[in-house]
Amino acid sequence: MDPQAPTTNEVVDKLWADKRELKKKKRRMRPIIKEELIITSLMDAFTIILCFLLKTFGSDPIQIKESDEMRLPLSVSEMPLKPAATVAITANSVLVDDVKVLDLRHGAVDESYKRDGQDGLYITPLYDALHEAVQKQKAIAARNPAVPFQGLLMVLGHRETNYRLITEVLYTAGQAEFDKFKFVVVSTKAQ
Amino acid sequence: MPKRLKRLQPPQDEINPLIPIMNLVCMLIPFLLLSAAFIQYAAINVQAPKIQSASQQQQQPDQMPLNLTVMVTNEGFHFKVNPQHRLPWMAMETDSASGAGPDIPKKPDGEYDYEQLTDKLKEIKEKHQDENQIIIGCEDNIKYEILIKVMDASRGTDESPLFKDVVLTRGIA
Repeated sequence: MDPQAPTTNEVVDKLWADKRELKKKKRRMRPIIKEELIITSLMDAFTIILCFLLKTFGSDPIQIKESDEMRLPLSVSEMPLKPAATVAITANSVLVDDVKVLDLRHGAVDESYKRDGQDGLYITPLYDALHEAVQKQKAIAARNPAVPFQGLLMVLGHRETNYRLITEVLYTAGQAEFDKFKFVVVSTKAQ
Repeated sequence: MPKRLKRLQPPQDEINPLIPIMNLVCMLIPFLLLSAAFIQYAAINVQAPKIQSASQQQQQPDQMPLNLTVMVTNEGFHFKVNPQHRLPWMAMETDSASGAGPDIPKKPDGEYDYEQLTDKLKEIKEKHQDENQIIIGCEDNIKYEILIKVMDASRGTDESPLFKDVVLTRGIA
């Protein structure tokens, strides 16, 4: 017997070692299961929501942001809005085309803003802003006959505004060549 | 001897081309949600206020046959028309300072009686089918939402319209 020949135990140990090594290699060779992210339904939902919001976003000619200072009154009217100049009467200020024109004090216009004193109806800064809006519209109408000047003003009023202020705003707007008015309201019938 | 293993190719990212569109969608949707209008808005036609004194109104009955005026005070609704068309229940005083009570007082709970206002206007409309104009005026401290409700009550419905042409006035002398 060859003294250098491996013994039975050594052969068995080597076989076991080879087997373990082979198992390790097999584990390494195991195919990687690629986990795909299934986003098809997510993309469907996104696309539908996006189309709906795009349609909603583009449907109103006037973008109105309600807040504690601006709560429009409710009405059963269903008449649609038209694109036009806007005057917004909030609890604390008056805005023309989203630009603040003057501040209100306790829901009323300060005497300093009125041309004719406390009892007057003419509000000077409001007239200036509305007059500028009219000039812009007339300039556009002069260049584009398809968009004539209509003298239409959309009035957005906070529901707690008193009638006196509404009258003053409408009177001033009338002086600025606006002769058609539309009060913007929240339609309860359309909902 | 184990086989030589093939070098595995790294898996390709199949969603790579979709990342820009997902970015776009994820940015657009919050923006549009914030801007979206889930409330339906509508408009009410109004004509410019006529600043008239009570005496001027009395001088114009020939020009405006009915001259239906509804004044809203803190006590209720006051009606006024051309005296030729006066109805028995009309006191023909458009302000509470004259001492006459409102033609339609407020309800016991303090709310305005819009239903009765509509009924009275229907009664007037039956006698004046061709009239579509109503003049509405309020005391200075009347809230805007009350004015809107009065306009709604005076407009009627599509099936039975009342007075659709609203003119605002201050007309309290």
